[in-house]
Amino acid sequence: MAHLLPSAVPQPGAAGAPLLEVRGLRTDIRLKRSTVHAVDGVDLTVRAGETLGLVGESGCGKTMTALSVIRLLPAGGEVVAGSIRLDGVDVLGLDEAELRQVRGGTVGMIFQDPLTSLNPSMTIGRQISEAVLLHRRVGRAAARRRTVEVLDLVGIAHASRRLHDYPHQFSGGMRQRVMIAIALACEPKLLIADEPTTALDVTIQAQILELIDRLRRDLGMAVVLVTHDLGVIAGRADRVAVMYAGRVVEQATATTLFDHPRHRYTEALFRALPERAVESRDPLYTIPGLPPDLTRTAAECRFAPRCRFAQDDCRSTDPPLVPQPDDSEHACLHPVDAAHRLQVRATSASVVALTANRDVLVTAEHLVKEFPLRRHVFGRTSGTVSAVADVSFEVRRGQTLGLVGESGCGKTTTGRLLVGLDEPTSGAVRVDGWDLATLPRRGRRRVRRDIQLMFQDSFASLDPRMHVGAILREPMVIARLGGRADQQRRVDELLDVVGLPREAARRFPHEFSGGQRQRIGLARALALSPRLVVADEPVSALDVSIQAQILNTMRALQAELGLTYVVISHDLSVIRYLADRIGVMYLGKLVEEGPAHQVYARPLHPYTHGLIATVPMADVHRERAKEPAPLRGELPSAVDPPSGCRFRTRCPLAQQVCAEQEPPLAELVPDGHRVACHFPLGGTGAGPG
Amino acid sequence: MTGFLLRRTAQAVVVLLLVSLIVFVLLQLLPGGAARAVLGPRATPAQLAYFDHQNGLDKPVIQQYLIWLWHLLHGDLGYSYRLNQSVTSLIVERLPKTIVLNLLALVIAVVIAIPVGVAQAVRRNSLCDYAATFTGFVFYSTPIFFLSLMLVLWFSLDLGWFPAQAPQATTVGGILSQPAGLVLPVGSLVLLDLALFSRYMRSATLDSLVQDYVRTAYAKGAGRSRVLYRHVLRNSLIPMVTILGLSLPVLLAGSLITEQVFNYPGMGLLFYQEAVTSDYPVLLGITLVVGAATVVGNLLADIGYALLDPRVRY
Repeated sequence: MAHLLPSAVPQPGAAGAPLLEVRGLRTDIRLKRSTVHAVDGVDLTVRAGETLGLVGESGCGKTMTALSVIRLLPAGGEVVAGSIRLDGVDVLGLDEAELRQVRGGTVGMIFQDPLTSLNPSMTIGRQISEAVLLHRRVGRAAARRRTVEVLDLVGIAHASRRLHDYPHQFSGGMRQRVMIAIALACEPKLLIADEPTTALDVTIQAQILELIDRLRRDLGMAVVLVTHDLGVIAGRADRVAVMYAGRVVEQATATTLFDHPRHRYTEALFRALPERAVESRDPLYTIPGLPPDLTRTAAECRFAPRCRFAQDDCRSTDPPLVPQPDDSEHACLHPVDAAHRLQVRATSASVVALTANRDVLVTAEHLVKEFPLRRHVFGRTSGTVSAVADVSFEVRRGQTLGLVGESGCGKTTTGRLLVGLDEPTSGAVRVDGWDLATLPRRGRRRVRRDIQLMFQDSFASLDPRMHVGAILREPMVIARLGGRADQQRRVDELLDVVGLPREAARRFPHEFSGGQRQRIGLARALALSPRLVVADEPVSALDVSIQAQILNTMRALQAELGLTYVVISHDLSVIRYLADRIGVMYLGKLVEEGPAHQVYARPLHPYTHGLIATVPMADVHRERAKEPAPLRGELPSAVDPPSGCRFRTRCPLAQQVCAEQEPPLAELVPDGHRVACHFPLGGTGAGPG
Repeated sequence: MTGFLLRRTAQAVVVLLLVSLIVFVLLQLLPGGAARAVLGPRATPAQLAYFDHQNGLDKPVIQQYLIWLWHLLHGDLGYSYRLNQSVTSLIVERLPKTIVLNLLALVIAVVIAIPVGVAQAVRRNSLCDYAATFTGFVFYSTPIFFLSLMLVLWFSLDLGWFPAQAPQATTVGGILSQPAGLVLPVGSLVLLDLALFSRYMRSATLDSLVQDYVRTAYAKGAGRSRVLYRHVLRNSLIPMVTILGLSLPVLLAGSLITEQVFNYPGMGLLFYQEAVTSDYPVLLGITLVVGAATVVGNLLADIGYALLDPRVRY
């Protein structure tokens, strides 16, 4: 038992004794009328110093598996079978007091949302030292010393001065560091990170993942990284377990899994990623149907109903996980081989012409939007938030402009200005040359019909008490378009267009899945036959397989109806897949804008470069070879933005001039690729030596 | 914080002026008038006119209001038409007694309601939870006069444990020296508040219990009771502050019905008696006190938020 010796720090990846062994784990969640078999026979092994990636779509049981390890299940949840051996201890046999020693002692846990996972009314110092005091027989002073130590470890500057701060005084990334500090306070042997970066921006995500990786190496911990994001797994995990419908369907080293996925589900998942189809601009592979209902179980492969390669034996036998010679295992009767690869049917949608000389539909001219900051009702304004600061661009008919940037960069506000939900502080939106603000009332109503918005959260943006038919008819009712019968016909048409059955009109939003609801959102945006659809994070709430369906539908409709899109997203691969032109925003500024392939292949702005380099991709070799997080620090406040170039506080190339002069957005050579930087990368300007 | 307090005080002054003006005008609109009420049905018109003239009631309403306001600025709330006593001295005499009665009830109710509410939330949908909810609603939905009378019937007339009438002593000390007499009036108020407070506490605790930080605390290795005391309780108390702030006016205004049923010499009884006889100066004085209490109650609730919730800063 090497880990009992204090000096023996296990080597990462070394085939030592397993730290965590899960065998035949079954976890049920009892609901009022039924029981969900959330985890149904899972085997996992994690060795000391190793990172196991647990990946799968929502509802696949990955989080329940992780929570079962420390028996921290939600109400109604219970481990009903199997064994969990952690560091030689049978976790399922522990009583309540012994279990408390495991939680926070042997196992540290990090959760998804650091804002809600920290107690808002307790200082972070007390929240961390609480963990120390629970597990170590030390006094308050010693606990405080340890607290400062772990805060230093996770990279919180001036740790001893921040002990008395509350969680709301930290930024999102810093809060997640505090969460990690709590998890590490008692030097756990196993760190379970459940979607640790899903709530964070990409640049912060890279920093946090790097931190977890460094701590794992330095402290010799094992890590279980639970995530839905294949890109996150690719760069960080030694081994990967893919879960589907409560089962592990494939397990292998990261390299093997990403290079040669064997299970048909894993294969399909990869093929649904937009980043894999960027070059070909082919439609994405979509997994038909929905994951099975986990309250019932049948003797069949759980993926069979959605699998293109399913045969009769798949529907009559439940395939076990079979170990392979290369130390991987998969539960598939007809695994991927050279002869039977997944082919995506090429459709008309793949031939979207990339003509540059179409006429301009929408122009944003020097858009500025400032929100006054008021302290109280009677008070004067105590400052303004500069949400959008002098943004200009054109959108050509039938094309897609992608606006990308981190949260707080002003991309959503820009979208709202385009649709006319907000009035610009100055500047103008022109549609077909008409300035929205100066048009008379009636004309403006007409023009606004041409621009529609598609929302991110399809659940929150559909009225739960209206049936879908009424939701789709409402825009026509407001615009007084046609009679009731015409509107009804149009509703049927819209449902056909987005690929929903016509009966859907009589049902309510909650009866649909996330992807179907997003289709309804798209149908509503199309109700008035707009020419421009502004889609704000159209797929960020969806799983990969569902996301692919929506992206395909959006592309197909563009070809069919000649739609123009402005797609707003934090997700570069989605933008890259959909957009003809990309605009990169940073703190209210458009810092780079140009043809998608150029911006992506040859970014001119250091921020764009950093962003592209940071986004995790589902490619092990690319991720492993990557430079450490190129974008340091966090987004400054938009209340008092930096002078000159707003990016200079995080820019590796910043010089004196960047603080003094604001760089204009301009072409370096006349190729339609504009950048706002004094020292553009690889450009013709006066670059740094 | 200082700036916040100054602004709130300024707001309070405006609110109180408006309240007093509205009450002043409303009282003038009442039929009958003070003179008839004070002098009785057999008073002659000349006597009524003389009374009105003597008390300035023949002047225009606005002028009367300004005169009242001018006196108020000098700390003079006027003179009761009926009781031959200054309004100020009446309030000074009655207010402490009302505070004693209602504060006792409030404190007892809160002290019982918080643990009951927490226990209900922790054992949600258990027999205890249902029983507590049922009992609470029975008391809450019973009209208080009926509840008070039932208490008198059982505990005073049938069992003879406590007197049916509240202590009649003139001083607070005198009232407190007869605790037996306080049991029934305090008890009836407690039963009423208990249901409301425990319900609030139950739902606030239920909200806190499912928060992510509670899961974090368990993941640290904290036990049930530690999680409850260190993490859940404080966050659950925040909504309670609102309801306590709203209770302050009652604390000062007294409860009309309870004080009347038990003949308790507090503000509520005074208000009822003087309202019957159109004793304007007393009514105005009490309204002002209640208005002030409402404003102060809200202010205290806001300060309470800032103390309990570090995210709230003024």
